[in-house]
Amino acid sequence: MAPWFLGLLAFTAGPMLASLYLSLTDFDLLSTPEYVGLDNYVTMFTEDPRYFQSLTVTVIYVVLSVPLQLSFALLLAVMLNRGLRGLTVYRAVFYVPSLLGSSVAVAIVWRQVFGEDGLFNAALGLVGLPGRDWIATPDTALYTLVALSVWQFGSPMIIFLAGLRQIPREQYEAAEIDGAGPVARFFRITIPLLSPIIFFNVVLQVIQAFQAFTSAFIVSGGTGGPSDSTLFYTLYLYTEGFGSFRMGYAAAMAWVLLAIIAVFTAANFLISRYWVFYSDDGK
Amino acid sequence: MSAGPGVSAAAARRNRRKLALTAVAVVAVGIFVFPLYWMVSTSLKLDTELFTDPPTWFPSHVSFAAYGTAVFDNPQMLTALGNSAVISLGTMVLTLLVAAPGAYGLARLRLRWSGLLLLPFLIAQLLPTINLALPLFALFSQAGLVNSRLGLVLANTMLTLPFAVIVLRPFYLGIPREMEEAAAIDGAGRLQAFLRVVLPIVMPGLVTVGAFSFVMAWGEFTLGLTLATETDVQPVTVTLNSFIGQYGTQWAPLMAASTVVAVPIVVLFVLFQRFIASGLTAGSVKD
Repeated sequence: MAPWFLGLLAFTAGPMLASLYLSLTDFDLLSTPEYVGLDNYVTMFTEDPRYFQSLTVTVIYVVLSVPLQLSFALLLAVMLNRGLRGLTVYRAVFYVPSLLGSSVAVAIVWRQVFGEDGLFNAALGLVGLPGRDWIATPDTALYTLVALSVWQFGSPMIIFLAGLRQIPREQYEAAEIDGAGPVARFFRITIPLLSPIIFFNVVLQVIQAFQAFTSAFIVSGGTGGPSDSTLFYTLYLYTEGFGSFRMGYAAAMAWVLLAIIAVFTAANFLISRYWVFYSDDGK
Repeated sequence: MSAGPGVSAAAARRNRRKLALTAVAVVAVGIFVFPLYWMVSTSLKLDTELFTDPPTWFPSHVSFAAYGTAVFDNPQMLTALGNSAVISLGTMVLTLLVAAPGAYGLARLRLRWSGLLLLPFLIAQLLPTINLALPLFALFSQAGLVNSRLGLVLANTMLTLPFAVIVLRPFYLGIPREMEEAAAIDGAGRLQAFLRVVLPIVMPGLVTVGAFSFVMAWGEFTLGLTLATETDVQPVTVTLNSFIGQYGTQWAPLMAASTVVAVPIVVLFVLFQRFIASGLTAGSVKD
């Protein structure tokens, strides 16, 4: 099994090593890579305002979309877990958007829904509110992408549901007898007992939010516009590498992104000590 | 069997609460499914009906004309659908071929640092696809794998593999060693024992991984965009993107093409719902 396993490692690690080398070079795909040391990394942090714009856009997106999406997922999971009929049907219905979520098809629908003649404006018109082209307006374009991410709450919801089923019913019954209302039960029982699952979802969704690419690419037509307002980190990386053929610079950006994701993930684990509650039955 | 009045009042309250919850759930489902409904209903509209103000919620004349324009009479789209089918099936098969024995080896390795070997696969999960696309493009252009379906199968498998190994390993860990030893005593070799005894037991895991790999490869966009620049090898997601430029705001053909691309994922989900849900929860909940 050992050679098989080494092959597996090489398969995954090979491209990463190649990328690490590229990040230290000046490479336009045509000529051979020219070694430039840490120049790419220095340029990124000292003379590239668009780089900071892409970083800002991405962080705003992560900070808004993850809590919103997970709150929706948890709320619906708790509701669905209350012994509703047709649980599997609801589960399926809510999960399908998630499966299709990062897909090109749904992003195209989003262009229509939030466009000038789109569905969202029509709905606003019904209640007498003025519409606008949400995707072409720099102030609102990013929020349409946040909405798209919130809409895909299916997979964290399924994970929450699985976790909720493991909370013993007696806990709730005992609390009810002691006079705890539904809100108190939610905050005193559900949240603490579910905290390992909440933590798992937070870690996963933060990582995925940093990786978001397809929806921003399609909705902005590959530009990150209008006025760089949806210039996600990954999108800027793409345009530098495959649009301007600055492959070395893009590879360096890729490594910094990986480091950022790693730092956020590590921070999540550190903070978890203060709020995640593990029951002491050794699970 | 006589229930006291207090009990029946509680039961009535519980029923009312259930009804209210069901109502909320139905409304929530409605809102969340609406964009998908909108995709299908727009695809069935005639051009004249697309820009009425306010928009019509149902198409007044159901027309499949857009499906002809964008999909069935469109050679580029048909080629792309074929490409995506080949790439997704190829990715599924290759993922299973590599991950099934790979995860088995990882599960059976009884070394102190065997847990550590899982680390590269976990780190690989942190990688945005575009980070992978960059070096792959450089390597593939050396190897002549840019603009080839084989190249896309290899690239997609790199995406699915870490997930596959992480999902499969616990399935193998659940198999008692004695079972394989018994098979070995009966004269089956190690390979025979793996194929005849071990694989059938982990079949649910293999189905989960297979379905997921197919779905991931079918919806994959970043690798297709970067590694396939020629239309005759492009996966359908990339072709769909090029339609945005081609059709602009002609929403009917765009939505028709989008619907056709979305259908296989929905069908697969309906067929394999149980396995997909178990794949998602693997690793999050221990039971």
